[in-house]
Amino acid sequence: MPIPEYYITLATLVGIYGIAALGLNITMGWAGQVNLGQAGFLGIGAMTSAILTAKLGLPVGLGIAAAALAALVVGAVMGLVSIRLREDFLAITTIAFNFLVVYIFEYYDVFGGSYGISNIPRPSIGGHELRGPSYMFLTWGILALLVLLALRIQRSWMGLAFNLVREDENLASAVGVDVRRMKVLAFAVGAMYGGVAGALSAHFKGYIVFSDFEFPYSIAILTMSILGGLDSIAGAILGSFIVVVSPEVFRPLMQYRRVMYGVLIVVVVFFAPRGLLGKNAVARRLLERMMAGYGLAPKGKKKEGEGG
Amino acid sequence: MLRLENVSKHFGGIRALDGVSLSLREGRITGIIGPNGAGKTTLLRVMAGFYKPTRGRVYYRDRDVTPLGPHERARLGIALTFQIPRAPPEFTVGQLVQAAVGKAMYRGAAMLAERDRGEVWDRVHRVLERVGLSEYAEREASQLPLGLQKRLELARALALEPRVLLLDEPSAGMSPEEARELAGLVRDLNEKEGLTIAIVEHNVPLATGLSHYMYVLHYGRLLSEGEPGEVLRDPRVIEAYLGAGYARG
Repeated sequence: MPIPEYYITLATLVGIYGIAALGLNITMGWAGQVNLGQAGFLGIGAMTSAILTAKLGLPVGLGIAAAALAALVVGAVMGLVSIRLREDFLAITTIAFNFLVVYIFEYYDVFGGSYGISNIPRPSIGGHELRGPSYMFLTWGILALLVLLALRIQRSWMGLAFNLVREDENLASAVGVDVRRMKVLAFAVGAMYGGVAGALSAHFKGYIVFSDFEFPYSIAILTMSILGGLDSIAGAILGSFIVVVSPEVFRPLMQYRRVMYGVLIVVVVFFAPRGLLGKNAVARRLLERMMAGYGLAPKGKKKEGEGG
Repeated sequence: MLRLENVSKHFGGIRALDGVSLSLREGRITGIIGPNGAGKTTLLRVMAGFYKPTRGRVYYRDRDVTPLGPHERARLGIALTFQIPRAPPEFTVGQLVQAAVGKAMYRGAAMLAERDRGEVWDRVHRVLERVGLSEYAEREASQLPLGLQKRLELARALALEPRVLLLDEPSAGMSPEEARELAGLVRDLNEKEGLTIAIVEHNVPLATGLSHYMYVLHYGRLLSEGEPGEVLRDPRVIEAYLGAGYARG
């Protein structure tokens, strides 16, 4: 029996937002650089790919790659800005960035203005257009690749350097870490994830408009990250699942969705500040105990930052 | 080895350092003493690149390193220990030393190399052994008593395989016994490994006992310099810093 289209759509969205939240985890969770404008990077990715494919007729694969690159470059610029800002000002600046991006999308025709961009093509392989389950597999395939990249970063010197910058910039410098470069990198990589997520959502829906990337979406992505645990790879995907699926389950509460994000953040920050799957979090310990019960316990002691 | 030429450092209207010229001689221990607020920590931080001097230059092996940041100087082999130990929560002792072992890995493609490799941890354990922290490798650094955290500071600096070691109040907060052990360790590093060391200390007997040469700072200026015996006999030093009681005692 085929899986109903509805579930395929939800699974695809969980994959797309999982990528966006994972990017935010890298910038904010690992490197400690506040980013309250991740939806802006999704917008940059979505618009880049939409313009290249729908307006210029380039292949979708190229569009997604260009989306990643565009978000990476803008993310690096944001990272350069972050060097000069204290944490609280950085928070405000990233919000302003989100508003600015949306404003540009709304007022410049190249981005379709208030009509947006429609007829964004689906990717196709060998003349076969990817829709439904095949698009879901594409999304989850890209998510898997990006999870592998995140794992690589986490276990590398780059991951350690991010953690050092987050905890103590003087300490990081004292061991040879170029703090400025790491901040730029953390923003660039996190934004790149956002750009890919944005492009995937554009090709999934076929139509995008400026309002798809407004500030509340940044808060939704932030909710996913905090819920799952800012330092956890699996947590980003779990957070995406909860935030994407819960409005469907609690449909009568749909109009209160944004309030729910706020409540969720407050509840998690108070009762499980590491998120559900963050280091030493209750849910994580339970999961590990269950895995141990099935002889699946991870070998050896976990090293710093290996939250995933 | 490391030389400051007419260095001034101002913070707003405060002149923390005012036209200081001094040099750390290769293979020697140089002591820097002075009352609170004399500019000792600022001086070490200018040497390590954490502060850019308002005026003057810093030379390392005759190369002008004034524009270089602290991470670049760390990579060159100038290692600083902090007066208040840096032990962020959840980092183990081993991980903090590992961070310094990787000093050459924080650029280019090397950054993406796996860090938990056997040879890396072998180096970490060798460093921990040198400072007597082997059994604490898996312990969370922030949970250690202050004396051991101070040793960890030294371990982290040594993991950089430095040529110059800048020690900022290494014995502060230590018991007399711990301070003695530390002094022995510092002397060993100098005598057996030929490390060039600068030591800022409040503990004057410890500093004079260790140093081959000393500088005395007062209100951001150099008050005196010379071999420890000479400096302690200098009337200006006695008046400004050590006090009449020290002269009598």
